[in-house]
Amino acid sequence: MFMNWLRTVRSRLQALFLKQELDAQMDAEMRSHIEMQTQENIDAGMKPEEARYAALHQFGWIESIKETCREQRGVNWIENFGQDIRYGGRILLKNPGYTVAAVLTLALGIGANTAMFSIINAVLLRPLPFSDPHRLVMVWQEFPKRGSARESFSLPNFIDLRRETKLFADAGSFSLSSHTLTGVDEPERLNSIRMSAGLIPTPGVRLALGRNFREEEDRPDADRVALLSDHLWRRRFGSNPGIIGRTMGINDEAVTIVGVLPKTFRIGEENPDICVPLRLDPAKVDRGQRGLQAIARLKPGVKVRQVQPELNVIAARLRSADPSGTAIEGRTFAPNQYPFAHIRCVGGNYFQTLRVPLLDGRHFTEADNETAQKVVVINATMARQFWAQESAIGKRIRPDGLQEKAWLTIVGVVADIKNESLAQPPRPEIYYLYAQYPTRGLGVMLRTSVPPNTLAETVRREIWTMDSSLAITSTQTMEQVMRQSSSTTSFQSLLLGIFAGLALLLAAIGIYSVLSCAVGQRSREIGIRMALGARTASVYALILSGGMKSVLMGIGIGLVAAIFSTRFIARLLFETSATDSVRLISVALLLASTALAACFFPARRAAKVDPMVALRHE
Amino acid sequence: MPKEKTDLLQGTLDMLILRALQLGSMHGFGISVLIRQMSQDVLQVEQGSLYPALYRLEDQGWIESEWGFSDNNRKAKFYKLTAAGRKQLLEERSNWERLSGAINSVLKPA
Repeated sequence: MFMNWLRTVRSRLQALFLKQELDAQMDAEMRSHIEMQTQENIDAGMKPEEARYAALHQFGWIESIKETCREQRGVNWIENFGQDIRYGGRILLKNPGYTVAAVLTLALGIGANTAMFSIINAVLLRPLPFSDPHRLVMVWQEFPKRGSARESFSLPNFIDLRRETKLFADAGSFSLSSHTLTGVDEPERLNSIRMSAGLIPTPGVRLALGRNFREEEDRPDADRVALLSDHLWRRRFGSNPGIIGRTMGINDEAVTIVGVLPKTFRIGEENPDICVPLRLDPAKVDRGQRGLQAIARLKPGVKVRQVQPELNVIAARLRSADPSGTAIEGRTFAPNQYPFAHIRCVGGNYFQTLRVPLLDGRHFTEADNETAQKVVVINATMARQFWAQESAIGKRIRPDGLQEKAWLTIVGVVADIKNESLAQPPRPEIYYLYAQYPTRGLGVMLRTSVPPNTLAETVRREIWTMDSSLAITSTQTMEQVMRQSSSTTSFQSLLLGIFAGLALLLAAIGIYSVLSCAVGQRSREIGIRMALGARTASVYALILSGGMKSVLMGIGIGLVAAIFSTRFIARLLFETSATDSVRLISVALLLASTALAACFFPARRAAKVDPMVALRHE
Repeated sequence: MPKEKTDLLQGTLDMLILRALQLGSMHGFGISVLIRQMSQDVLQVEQGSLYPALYRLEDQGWIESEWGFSDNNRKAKFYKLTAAGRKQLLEERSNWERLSGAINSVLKPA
């Protein structure tokens, strides 16, 4: 069996590489046969020429026999394939324009597809670094009647959720935070995650060193512990394997390091520097104080869609006890229907520095200190929404999210500020004073008389002179901030623009190719027309009108489709309406002129047709 | 050339070639002469069938070829049976006998 196979392979290889030799041998064999036949004929009495002729005639059509023999070599298909490729190559070389168009089209198409797929693959299809990731879910609170689709949990709600669901194997919660690395030469702000004890095991993360938090370390009075990320461990602690049990300074307190996270650790998109336990006291935390994101693992065999009904039941129960939102004095809401407003901490001359117009009332002053009446300033959207017919000044509200639930007096109304992104519409916002409710993690805004970036070092040094344990994270000019906020959208727009440009290029190439081919095929017809008296101009018109007819139809269909579908990208558009007619018309003009240019060259070729040559060419 | 040509099935031709070579190694021309003689001029193998058959048989490993000199000192390609070819011939002979025996029994006068 094996010998057979070996022999076959050898003969195939011989047939491929010793083709000329084998052909020569076949030739010789046939010739020798004919000679022997000739000799036999002569011996039988024929004259030599007759003998030879008869022998040849009897042999039949030599070439076809040779071809049949060659087929027996079993490598015919390879040879044929090779011949086809060489032939194709010659034809392509003879028609460079066509070849370039075809290759370009293929290259652009393949390139664009590969690029898109790579992006999608990296962003969407990349597997999560967890065990059994398809059984992990994130859970959110929803307040549809109050216009909020996805909100994080409060600790009491999360605890209730964890206790009452039967379909989760376990759940963990976390909030994004930041802590300062202290006790070092250069204090550094660390991105951190505060997590419940269940957060590491739930997705199945295995620590590189050490151990996870214990349940008892998740209490406010427990000793402080932390988990280091892989990159912080390498960067600040020299990848020291003896790091377990040592302490580090976090926010001026000694924290014991109990474990090191693996290199691939991620929660969502977050890759924090350290992780610490939540250490929240459920008794002291209000149901309305949101901020926790929840991850849960489904029990084996449970499908995602089975979970929602159960969650709805729990939600209904929690809803009746939910006190979140901003209460407005003098207005009655159902206890779980308080409107949502965003709150921000500001200090000093925030609005004056930013030159935000004051629309009603007054700005904050030095007199608003910790002993004075607690005051707030609201934005125009909030004033319009709740005090459309009257002034909001002097009214009192009790917002969510402060250290205490207290009634605050509105003293001023400012114009809307876009805090998150340019494209999002303004929401109701409440500004409270740092002097009255101190908080962590402030930014300082400076309006400068010199170019702002020249002052960055000076500002840093001044701050450190005042308190050397402060971590300064970033100094940016306002322009940089704005650019950053729109960087995602501009990246997306850039991508879309590139692909649109590609599509335009491909369309132009396609139009050119098709029309070129048509002109080539019609050259005889054109020759006849010209011979019958058609002038150059009318030949141009003939070809151009033929080409542009389809193009104009396509543009028409495209316009309709564009008007219909741009609503889907409306959220990306800032100060541009989705049906901006100037934009649509200019795009249509661009397409039409590109197509016209593409049609021009074939038309010119048609006009150059020499009727005599065309008519002779059959 | 006789007017009637008896068409040989491809498999049967293979068998006859192997049989001819059983009597000794020879070149293509010699094989066709031998078959013609042994069949009393009934079977005239055309070169168009002979050489493809020879190449096929060689590809299967039942015969092997070698260049040599004929009686008249002409250069020619000689074929001879291999061991596998010998075995194949026996097999084909017994198949043929079985088949032709069966056909004969059907054609026998009732």
